[in-house]
Amino acid sequence: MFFHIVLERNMQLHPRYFGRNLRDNLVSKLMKDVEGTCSGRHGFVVAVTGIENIGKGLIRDGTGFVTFPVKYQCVVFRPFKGEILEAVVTMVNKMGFFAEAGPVQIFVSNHLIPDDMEFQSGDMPNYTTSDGSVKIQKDSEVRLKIIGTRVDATEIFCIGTIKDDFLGVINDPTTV
Amino acid sequence: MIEPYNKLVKLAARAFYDDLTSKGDNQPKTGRSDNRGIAVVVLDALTRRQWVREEDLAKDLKLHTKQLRRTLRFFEEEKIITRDHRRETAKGAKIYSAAVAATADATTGKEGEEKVKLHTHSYCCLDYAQIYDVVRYRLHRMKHKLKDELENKNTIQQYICPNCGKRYTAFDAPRLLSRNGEDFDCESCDGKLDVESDKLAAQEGGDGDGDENARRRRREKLKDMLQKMEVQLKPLIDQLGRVKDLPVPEFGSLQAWEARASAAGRAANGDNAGDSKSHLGYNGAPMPYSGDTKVVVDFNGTEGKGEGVKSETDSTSLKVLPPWMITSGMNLTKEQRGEVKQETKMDGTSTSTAAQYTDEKKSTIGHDDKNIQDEYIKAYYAALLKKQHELEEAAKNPQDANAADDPSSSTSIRKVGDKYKREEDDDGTEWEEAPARGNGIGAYKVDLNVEADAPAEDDEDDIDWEEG
Amino acid sequence: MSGEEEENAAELKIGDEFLKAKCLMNCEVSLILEHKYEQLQQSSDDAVNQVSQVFEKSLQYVKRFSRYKNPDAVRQVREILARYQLAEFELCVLGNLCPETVEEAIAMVPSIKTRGRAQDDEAIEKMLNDLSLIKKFE
Repeated sequence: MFFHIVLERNMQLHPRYFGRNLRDNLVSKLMKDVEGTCSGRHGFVVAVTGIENIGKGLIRDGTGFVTFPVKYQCVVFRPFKGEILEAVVTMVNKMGFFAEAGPVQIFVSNHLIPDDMEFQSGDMPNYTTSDGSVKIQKDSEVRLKIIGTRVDATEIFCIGTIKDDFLGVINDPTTV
Repeated sequence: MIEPYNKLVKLAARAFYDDLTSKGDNQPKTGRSDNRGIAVVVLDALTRRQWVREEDLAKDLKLHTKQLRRTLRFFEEEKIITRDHRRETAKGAKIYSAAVAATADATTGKEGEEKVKLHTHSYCCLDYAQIYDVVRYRLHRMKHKLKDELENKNTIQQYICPNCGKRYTAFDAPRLLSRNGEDFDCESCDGKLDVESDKLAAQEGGDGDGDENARRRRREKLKDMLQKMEVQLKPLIDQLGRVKDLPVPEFGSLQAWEARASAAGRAANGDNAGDSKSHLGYNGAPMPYSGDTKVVVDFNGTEGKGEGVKSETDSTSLKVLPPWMITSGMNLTKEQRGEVKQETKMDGTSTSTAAQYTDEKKSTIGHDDKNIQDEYIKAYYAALLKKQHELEEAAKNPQDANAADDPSSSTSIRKVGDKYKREEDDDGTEWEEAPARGNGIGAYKVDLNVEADAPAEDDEDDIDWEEG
Repeated sequence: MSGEEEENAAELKIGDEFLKAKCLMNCEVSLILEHKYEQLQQSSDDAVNQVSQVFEKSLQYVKRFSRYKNPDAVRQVREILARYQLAEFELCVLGNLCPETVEEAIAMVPSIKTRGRAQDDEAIEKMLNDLSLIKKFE
């Protein structure tokens, strides 16, 4: 799920950026620093959308660097256990399939794919029902439920399932 | 304090390690097919010991050392026990033996002398603190797994490397993906991973989820398992609750324990030396392994000034214990310490202290004493009877008299025999009386209880019993 | 409540911080990111290339999975859903997935039933109808 939240960060700025463009410099540095990062707590920082407040700078002894506490608004993406969302299948193999929902990667192991779908190997590996009506392959859109998240310093990885009511393929790229 | 923990160990042993050959939940074990049930025996034995040399344990349990080691190694991995290995000389072994003797273990002191060369010896000991955590964690995981599967059947798939046995979960999927994207490869040995099928409720009915019946059956099975778990493990869970606020028994490292135990042993020796030479021998012989806590009490008691004081603390604290404990405990102290004699001498002190107790207390003490006296009397006259026989035999064959007395088969008889011999020195009158009575009566047991009151009272009753 | 303690979106256990935060539907995120992307294109030719992968993937994703494209429609969706005393998170899940039946809606957002807000089936039905109307007239 995407959220619009306010985060805070202490920005250190070299004296050469001081002057009329101090604020602009601060903001562009902020974007460069935080956009694209990921933390277990707040998820992926997708985009900085605004500055709430820039506090008084504090000159650091000896270096001349100044630290500014900056409060900023941003769009984050944070997956939750139990959340249902839509994702694009990126890869299929006999162990299951990988999908992406924005910045997050989700793995659905084969035992969390409905039992009536069977793996078919080949150029375009896929999971297909016996009557062939439903097919999961690369680029399929699926609705899945996140059943677990693993967080490390720079990544959030999810385990999903499509083995429940109203989950599974939304549209099949070959038939639509 | 150690008893509730020992009960926990015993319950856990029976709950989780009773049948080690079955699927070893998390640890795939090989070659344990031959020792079903042994694990429980080993754990039980350990609850009766502190640090123990594994060879000794094997000998006591009549197990092959290798088999025992395998079990112990398993328990080490399970974090149930701690082990220590060291190369040691005869001297090192002696330190341990001394420590054992001091904790009332019956292992002989000879072993120290036997070991001349350097040998690696392994020792093991229950780790109560960890056991408490391990058992709790295990229960938690069991419940969690069942609930997970029951509630949403959304379990995280596990993978295992058939080559090296390394395990992974679906969370590792991105890094495990093989170059062609078709398989998951082991990070350590590059082997192709297998899906670990440890789902508790096996998928019945083939076509599975589409089949509502199969799904329902699986749910039923899981529910059943969860319920069974709650019922069957209740004693264990209750015991965990009981233990929760108790201090954890800690023996420390092998070295620390040895130092402590032998120091305590020395202290006890010093104290007891004046009392009676045979104390330690008594301590060890009749109750090989269960004397640990009692020994501590003994030391504390003997450090105190008088035996009279000690006997009272004993009886007050013992009255909450189950009857079998009272008798055995009291028997030990009285017999060993010759308290009976002492109390008669210290008449004044013990009566005065006893007088401080309320009537209620006195009566219970009296009651306790009565039990003991009854037992004592029975044993006493049994010994007398025996002595009589011996005397009769001695009359026929005078040389055998002493020989027949010494290697007596039953320790309890022997104790009493010893004791009664000492008494014989003190009051010879009783000795004269007894055989006459014993001679006259065939069914000595019944009659003695009636008649014996008189001589028994001479001994102790003046002090506590009659007052109570 | 910190996230690690039995997080479960189905029961709306997403941590206080996110429970109170403003949630964004995919269509809203799409508007925000596209706007930002345009700005970057105008500012300098280099800025677009420096956009993070997270940004790029998110933009692709929300463009693909936005149920409503028209900014007016997006605003209306929020207005309608806001009438039903939904938590931000619930509102956005419904807005993103556009369930067609009451049963499906409850499966997607189980918390609307469990939170005891007397969200009866009729109300949910009406809500879904309103949403589908917006879609029709977009």
